[in-house]
Amino acid sequence: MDDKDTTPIRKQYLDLKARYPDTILFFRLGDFYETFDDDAEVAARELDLVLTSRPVAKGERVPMAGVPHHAVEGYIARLIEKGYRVAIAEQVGEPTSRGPMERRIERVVTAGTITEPTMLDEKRPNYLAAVVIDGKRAGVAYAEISTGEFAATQLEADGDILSVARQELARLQPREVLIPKTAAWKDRDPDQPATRLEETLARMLQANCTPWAAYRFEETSARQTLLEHFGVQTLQGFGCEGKPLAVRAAGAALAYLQETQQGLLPQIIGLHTYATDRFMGIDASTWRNLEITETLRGEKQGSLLGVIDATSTPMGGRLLRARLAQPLLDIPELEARLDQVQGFVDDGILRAQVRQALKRTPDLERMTTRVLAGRASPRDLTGIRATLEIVPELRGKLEEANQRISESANPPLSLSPSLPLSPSPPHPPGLRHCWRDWRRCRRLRASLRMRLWMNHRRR
Amino acid sequence: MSAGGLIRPGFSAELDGILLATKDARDWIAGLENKERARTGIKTLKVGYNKVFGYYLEVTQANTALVPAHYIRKQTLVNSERYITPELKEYESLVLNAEERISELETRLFREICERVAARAQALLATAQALARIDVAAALADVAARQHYVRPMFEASPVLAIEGGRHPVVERAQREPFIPNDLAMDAESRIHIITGPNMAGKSVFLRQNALIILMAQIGSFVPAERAHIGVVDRIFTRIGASDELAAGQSTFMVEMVETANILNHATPQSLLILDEVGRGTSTYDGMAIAWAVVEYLHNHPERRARTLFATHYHELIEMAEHLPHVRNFNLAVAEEGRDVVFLHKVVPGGADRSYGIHVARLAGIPAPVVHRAEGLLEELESGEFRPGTQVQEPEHFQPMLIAQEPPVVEMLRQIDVNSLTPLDALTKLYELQKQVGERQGKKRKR
Repeated sequence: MDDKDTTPIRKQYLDLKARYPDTILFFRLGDFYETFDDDAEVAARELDLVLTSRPVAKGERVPMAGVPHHAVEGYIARLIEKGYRVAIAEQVGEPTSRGPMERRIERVVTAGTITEPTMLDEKRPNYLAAVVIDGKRAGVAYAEISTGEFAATQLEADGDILSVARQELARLQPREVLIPKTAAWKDRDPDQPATRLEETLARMLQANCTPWAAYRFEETSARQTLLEHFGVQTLQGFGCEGKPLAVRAAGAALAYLQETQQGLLPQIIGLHTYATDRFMGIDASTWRNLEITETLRGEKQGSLLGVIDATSTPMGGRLLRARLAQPLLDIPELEARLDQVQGFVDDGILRAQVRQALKRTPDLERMTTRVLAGRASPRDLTGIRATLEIVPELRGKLEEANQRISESANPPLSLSPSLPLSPSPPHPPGLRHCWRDWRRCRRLRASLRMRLWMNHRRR
Repeated sequence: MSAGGLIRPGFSAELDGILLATKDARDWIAGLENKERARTGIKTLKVGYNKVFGYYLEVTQANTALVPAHYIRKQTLVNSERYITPELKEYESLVLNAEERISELETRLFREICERVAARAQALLATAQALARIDVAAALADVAARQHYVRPMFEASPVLAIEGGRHPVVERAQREPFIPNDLAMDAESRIHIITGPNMAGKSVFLRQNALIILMAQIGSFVPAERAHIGVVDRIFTRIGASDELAAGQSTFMVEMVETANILNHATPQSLLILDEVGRGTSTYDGMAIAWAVVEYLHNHPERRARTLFATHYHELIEMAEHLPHVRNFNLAVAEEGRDVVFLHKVVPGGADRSYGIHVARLAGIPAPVVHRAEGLLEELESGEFRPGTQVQEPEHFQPMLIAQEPPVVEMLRQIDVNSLTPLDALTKLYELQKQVGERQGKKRKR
């Protein structure tokens, strides 16, 4: 094909595509996102789209398939579900008289990096994990960009490191796992034996497995990524100094997030280094056999979680799931948790009132995180406002309950120490003023233009 | 929707100012339709808007004769004509300019509010976590109250005393009342061999204890009348192979890999749930492996985990005679004539029969097959196995109540497992297998 004949928009497309070869590129053209070439064939097949074609040069057409921009989320969700990664090229700037509009990759959506509320299971964290194995040690890191959770651990085994790493991943049930990319990955026949331990591990897992540049997993590079992101001189504050495998996995995961999110990740505010020996060990097959969070057929209904999950908020649902995956060994810690439950068992009225209030509480955690990440919608702000209207009510109920408990002759326990909202507000005074301002912020419509008076006129 | 849309009036003086300034223009356009209808007498006249022409007046073809002279025709449709007037365009530009500014302003204000929220994100996230903890506590309490769970008690020593334990999922799923069962383990009684026919509820009992412990250690109440739990550091399970089969590994290999993992990593604080270890291979291989595994767990100072071992090899109940910390339990069965009734109750002692044929009948295996199997079982147990013999008439059938042991069992019994080296064990195993092979060979020659 002669370069001169190629349309400018085709050149633009090919440039972007070359930078994101492992993705399906959704290329914004007016009111549509279009896919081309092989991408178009994949999209047409997987999404039941009509495969058409588009001229790209004199006498040359390429396959094309597109989806309308207002319905794009559903289509992306379906591709992610099937294990694809989707890069989204948006039109930026103003249309010019000459040449195509400027286009830029706004983000890359992958199974482990979803933030859209419609694509997330609200009672389940959507983890991206990274794993690296070196001899008898392994590093596992995981991140949840919709809540800002970011943690890493270093595992060691005198025997089978693979099963130890697998156990940790079974607990996390990540949607996507990053492993170091070997040179010949792309040409690898899936029936051929795996050449690296990480690859063997990835095949054991049900999660999407994404090979990610091997140098990202190297200690120097990984450490640099972490230091730069957090703006620190040392990783000591995060507890991962002296745990090189944890650093390598965490750095690789963070670099991947940076690329898919195309920039800063303000919601990742810290790295939590943890040791697995604080928790009960549940190996991968036990996890499955006991049907803890899902049955052998993969359903929550019929699992232990299905029976005990009576939580009212998405945050609560995710916390219960996390606790189920990390049972404690420390008796005082367990007693403290049981005290909280006991408080609500003993006081049925309080329990009903609190649960009633919680049922009206939206996902404060993910909403706040979206605000932090600069991806908030007006719905998120109204949701935050709604939560903050409920908080004083809840606090009042809990304070009353504590009062009742302390008045009884032989107080068995108090809710105060265990329920942090209750004795003192977790946020400084003055915040209320802020809330008042937000109340003024109303529902936003994507385009306001003209709707106002048109509606008025219709009435 | 009221004017202003995104931001409530009173929040931004600038925004309110723009809205006020264009109020006249918006009102004028809003009132135009009625005004023009009255003036022209065209009842169907409409004011509309599209992206290409902006605002227009639409008149149906039937009424075009009534259109005033100052209307400028812009577009002809099948049934109507669209017009503009210079006055309309003037107001339009006022409104559109204002809308653009309003839109920009609202976007800016929205961003500012987001920034203010972001500045308080730490406090908001802390609040979210507190809400999550309250939610989980209240939810677990709700389940506990509804399902009659109790608060577990913990201690550091490796005990387990669960009274009236139930399976949290099964009790919710089944209609008939769930039969609760006890479990009492301590340093003296560490390995419980659970025998009993398939379908009697061995697996449910095994799993319910693992789930009760798991629930306790996440800080939940548990489905029991009383639960005293010595904290468990790891739960291991070896339960019938499932999805690994699809991966192409043989059942037996999977079983052995999992068993190896348990034997290498269990600690005295662990809980082991072993369901039918050794099932994937021939009977004597399986039994020998099961026996050796239990022995290892019993004798190894670092691996003496609390173990629930379910098996349908009722021969294994003899281990309790040789190993002081092993106890036998079985799932009670009531016999009513030739039928068996599963009572789902765990009672001390070993089961002496596996009732496999009864289960076969329950499963709907055709009667002739069941009768033939009964006859063969009788021959096998009396050591007079003759594959060629005729099926006995059902009327003449007498169920075997006391099984006679094959000689191999006696050989097994004579083995002093405590003094056996692995190599000796293998040799012995070979002998045992040969013995069985010879017996069968002899019979065939006959």
